[in-house]
Amino acid sequence: MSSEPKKVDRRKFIYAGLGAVALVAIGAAAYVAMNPPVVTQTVTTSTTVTGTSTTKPGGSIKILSWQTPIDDMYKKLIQEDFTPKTGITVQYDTVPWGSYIEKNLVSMKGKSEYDLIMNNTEWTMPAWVYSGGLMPLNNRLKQDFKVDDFLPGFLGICAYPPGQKVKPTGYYLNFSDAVFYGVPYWDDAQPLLYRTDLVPEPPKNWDELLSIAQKLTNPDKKFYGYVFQGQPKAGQLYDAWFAVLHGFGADIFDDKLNPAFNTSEGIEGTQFLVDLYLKYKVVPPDTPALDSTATLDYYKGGFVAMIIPWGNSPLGDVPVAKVSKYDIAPVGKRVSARTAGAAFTIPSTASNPDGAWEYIKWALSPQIRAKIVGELGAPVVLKSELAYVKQGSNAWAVAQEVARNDIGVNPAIPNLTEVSDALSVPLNQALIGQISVKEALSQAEQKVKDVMKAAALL
Amino acid sequence: MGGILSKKNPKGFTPYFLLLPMLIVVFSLFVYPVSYGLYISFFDITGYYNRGFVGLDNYIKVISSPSFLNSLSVTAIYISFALTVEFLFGLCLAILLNKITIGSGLIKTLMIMPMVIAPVIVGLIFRLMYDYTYGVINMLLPVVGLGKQNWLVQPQTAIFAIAGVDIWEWTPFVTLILLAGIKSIPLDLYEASSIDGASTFSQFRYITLPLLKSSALVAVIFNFMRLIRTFDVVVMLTKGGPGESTNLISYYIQQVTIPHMRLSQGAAMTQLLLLLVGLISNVYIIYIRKSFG
Repeated sequence: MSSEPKKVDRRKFIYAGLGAVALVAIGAAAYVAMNPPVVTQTVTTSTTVTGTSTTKPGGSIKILSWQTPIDDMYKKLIQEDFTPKTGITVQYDTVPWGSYIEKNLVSMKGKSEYDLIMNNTEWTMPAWVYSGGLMPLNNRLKQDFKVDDFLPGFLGICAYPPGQKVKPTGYYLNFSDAVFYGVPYWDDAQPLLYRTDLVPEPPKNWDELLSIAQKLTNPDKKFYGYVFQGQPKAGQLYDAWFAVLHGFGADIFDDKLNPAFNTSEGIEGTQFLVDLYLKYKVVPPDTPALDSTATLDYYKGGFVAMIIPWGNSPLGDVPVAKVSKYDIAPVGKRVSARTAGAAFTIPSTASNPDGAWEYIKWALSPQIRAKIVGELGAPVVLKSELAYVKQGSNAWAVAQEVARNDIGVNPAIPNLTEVSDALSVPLNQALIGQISVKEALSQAEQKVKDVMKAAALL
Repeated sequence: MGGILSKKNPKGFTPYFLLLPMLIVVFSLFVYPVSYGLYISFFDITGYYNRGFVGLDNYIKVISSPSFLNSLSVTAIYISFALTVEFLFGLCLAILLNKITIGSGLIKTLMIMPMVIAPVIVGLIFRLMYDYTYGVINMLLPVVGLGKQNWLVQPQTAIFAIAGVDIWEWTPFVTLILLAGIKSIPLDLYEASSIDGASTFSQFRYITLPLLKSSALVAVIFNFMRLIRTFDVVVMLTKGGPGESTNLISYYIQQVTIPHMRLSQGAAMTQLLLLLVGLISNVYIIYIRKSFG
């Protein structure tokens, strides 16, 4: 026996369809109402700060930043001080670092919707400069700031030689003819973080660090003298390797952007890093798979005695924080550390560049920096802010390293991520003993050459 | 005169009107991105320059890139292993569940749990489980007489560690599809074969397996398409390492396209992958249809 399929009433079907559309619309409206500005599909916070328009210059600006501990303070101060003073309303989009590069790239490819972008000086700003997407800030900077007030190393990262879009050494310190594409507001370096209860005197060089690490390492108790990140992507192993390479006296590029790391100094430094894992075993067994978060977790959990993290990585309220101090990273031929940071930059297509500049002036004014640096402990970028730092603190160690003038800086090239990934794969293979250090550096050299040729930078 | 308003089509625009929302979604989320991807794959566009039309240059570069080829081979190993284990485990579980009468609803509900956990959380859980020093897996291995393994550091174990995560999370999916297939087989066939003296294995070989073909096809095709998109777990566990031993194709394409900003090369890889997936899926569908009549 067969039964007729039940027919669907057309009117009911259409009503049901319309009902579904209405439900979706109501849901979407509720979502928008709860999350006012839509930023990205990833976890992103965005706050529109409004205020009473009282005086010049008015208008509105839109800011893109990646999440740092100072964003909340800036947002609060915008509401309390900036908007009431200037009449400029601010939409401040904060994106987690994990999705920041993607968001930044999307913004760079089209007409940027942002008036002000907090650009990372290593991983995003060089691509903006190379593509001609940033406004030179020379006139504004010289008119409203004293260039000499900035710590030269930090301003030097934002300065480019006239007519050049790449910098093999990352710095340009001749400020008289420099083109400034950004103004630094947040900087960092790689100081040594160590346990004062286990390491009474911080190691001054790598041999001392190894000696201390060997004494403290006890695999049976799951305790290690040192730890570094060995993951082969996203600049992880690259960070650890760069610091050692720089300390041993080798560079990533020469002044013509030819790879310069496959030298006797480069081999010696890389071999030392690999030996920490394979030969001396003073680092945890899963080091080749660790990222910076995991290495810091090792330290915070009390499982290692020393680490070279980024100075502004929050240690938090953990027991080892009470017995921790920062100092200058081991010094070889040079200090084994790199500096990098973030700069205020204005896209060439910004709708309100004057409003953006007003914000930069305000954000770097002494009364605002007193709160950001003095109260919050953010890193210093101006010489006048050095008074805020306390010896042994992360900000102090960062400032000490940068003041040495032999600290490393990443080359300012638009394809740094690709270069660092090309390097990291063979280095990781050397770390796990798959290939020798010499083979790794030869492969890395060839890969970097290929990457640079593909980008017509070599 | 024909056409949508003719007497042969008395409903006029209504069917097309009702189809419109879905057409808009399909066009904007599939047709346009794929077409645009195909278009830019013939140009040399990165995040920081646009060098214009380059013809098939990107495809040639991609096909001759050792990293791309390595990525394809790593992905093939990963998919073959995960797909086989998930199918075999899923089949065994489905047969077992078909026999269980008490508590099968609860078991099925529990089996769905891994699938509803966010991949990032799954990655975090397994990162802890695979930990050399504190991971639960290395704590259990000595109990059965095996030595500790550095799961995510050794190239020979890392890819299987990644596959293990997928097997844990998605075997229940295969189980549920196959269970539905088993439940749809008429019991008369088993009763008749029993009367004819067929053994349990013969029933399985000659009744269950052939009649499961459409369910198996769905399970394998769905799983294959899902496995080729594996991304989150690689990000959470290995970032493609050690070396390039877990550099699965989806992760590799994302790396080339976003962090490396090679938009055209990424688009060319995506087109090649689309072609490959379509080809493999169709070959598999034809093979299954021919094999089972």
